[in-house]
Amino acid sequence: MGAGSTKYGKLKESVVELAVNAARDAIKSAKLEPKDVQYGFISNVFGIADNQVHLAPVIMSNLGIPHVPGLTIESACGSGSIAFREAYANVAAGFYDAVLAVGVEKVTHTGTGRSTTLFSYCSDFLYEGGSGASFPGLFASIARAYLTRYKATEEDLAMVAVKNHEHGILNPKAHVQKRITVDDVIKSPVVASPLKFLDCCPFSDGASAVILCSEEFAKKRAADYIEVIGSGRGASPAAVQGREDPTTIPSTRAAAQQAYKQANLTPKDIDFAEVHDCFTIAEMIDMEDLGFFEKGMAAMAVREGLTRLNQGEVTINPSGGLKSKGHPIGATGIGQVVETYEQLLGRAGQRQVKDAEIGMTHNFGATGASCAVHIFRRV
Amino acid sequence: MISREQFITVLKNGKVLAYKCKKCGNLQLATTIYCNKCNSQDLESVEVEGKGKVVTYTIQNVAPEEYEKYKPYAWAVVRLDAGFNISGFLPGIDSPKNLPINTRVKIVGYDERGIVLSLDK
Repeated sequence: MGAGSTKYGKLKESVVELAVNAARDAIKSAKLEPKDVQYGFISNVFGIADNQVHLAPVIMSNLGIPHVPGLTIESACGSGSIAFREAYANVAAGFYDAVLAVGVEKVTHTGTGRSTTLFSYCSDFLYEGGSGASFPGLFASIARAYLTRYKATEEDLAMVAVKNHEHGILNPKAHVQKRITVDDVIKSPVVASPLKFLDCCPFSDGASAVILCSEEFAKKRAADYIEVIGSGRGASPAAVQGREDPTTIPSTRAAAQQAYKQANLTPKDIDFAEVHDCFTIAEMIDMEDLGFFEKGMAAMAVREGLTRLNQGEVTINPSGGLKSKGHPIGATGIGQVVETYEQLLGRAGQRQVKDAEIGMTHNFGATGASCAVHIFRRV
Repeated sequence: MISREQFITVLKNGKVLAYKCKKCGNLQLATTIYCNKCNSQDLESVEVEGKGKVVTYTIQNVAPEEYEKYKPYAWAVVRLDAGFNISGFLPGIDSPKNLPINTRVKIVGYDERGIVLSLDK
């Protein structure tokens, strides 16, 4: 019933300030006071990089509600959606009427080399990070398998980046607000072949927050709200080597199946989806695993522009996605919900998806080891 | 149960410690302690050859900071001849031309670079 976000990018504020600023905006947009919050779900991965772990009580104390309990949740890049899921489950179970979910990350001050190492700790370290793989490297190995198996090219991957940058230009809070071409992507420096610099999302700082409440509470307080109508969780083997087929992410399929079933909807009913596009290849695979396109057909969809804003059945990443909006990893999953809130209330400005009634968020940790999918409806 | 230390000692000899399921016959890495097919707890440890072929890989032009000094190198997922996968660090690869999918590779050790592979000519 309320949502707030800082800008994403290289920011000077501390991890605590970022979280508190986003939480304040969410509480304000819900027309609540901090004391109405009964619990805080905080998603974060690398607080330690800003000399702060045990974030929940520090954030609650800084919001002036030190007696309200909280919990910090870490599930790599999927922390936000997984914290949202826990918040949803607690409200749905009747433990609380209104809770705060805040995602935050602060890493850019550590520099590219250190950040690359920190992120590699999210992998199955013995086999991956501890044997030389970075996250771009892990997704590059997935991309190589995909490009080898299906009729897709590096230019098709580049089209995903071009599209998400087009959307991101329309989002004032996006980290990278720059129009790019397929040629720019192809000619950008190779990070981990076949992925180039512009196939990769940036390292970002930022925070996003939402208020979740029971329907009764929302109706009583007469605030604007959207409804969660489907929630699903999935898991995959932690290492890429453990997957029968590296070109599909089992956790996405499982989480989506549960969410569709609970919502009693099919992929055709979704007007827009905020999906996990940490790398261009990830968005291609997500579109197939979420059921928007047949296996191996995502490249065709991207080539024909079917997922651009208001161009086809489903707009993918109207916010600009992780690629352009940015990827402060603990905040990303909550940021997707903030975008969905704005879209379904018709407040998304130039990037508004026309007649948006049903929106989806999809966010995973690492190479998809953990995933949560949510479906939302305009009230 | 097999310790991480024992697992690494065997890697240093170019072999891989595996668990064979006594119930369904499945072979898997010994770092997973129940059968990942039938979930049986009745497993026996066996050593298998660290040889196989490349399933997929990348070449790290930008590497984690500790690996910058080892460039160029590849990180590869390998299908062992024993029938399950492992991954590792493959030095000296600077172009996809030099590493077609299905190239034969073998484990040659474990050190500060992790699980180390080489081409198996």
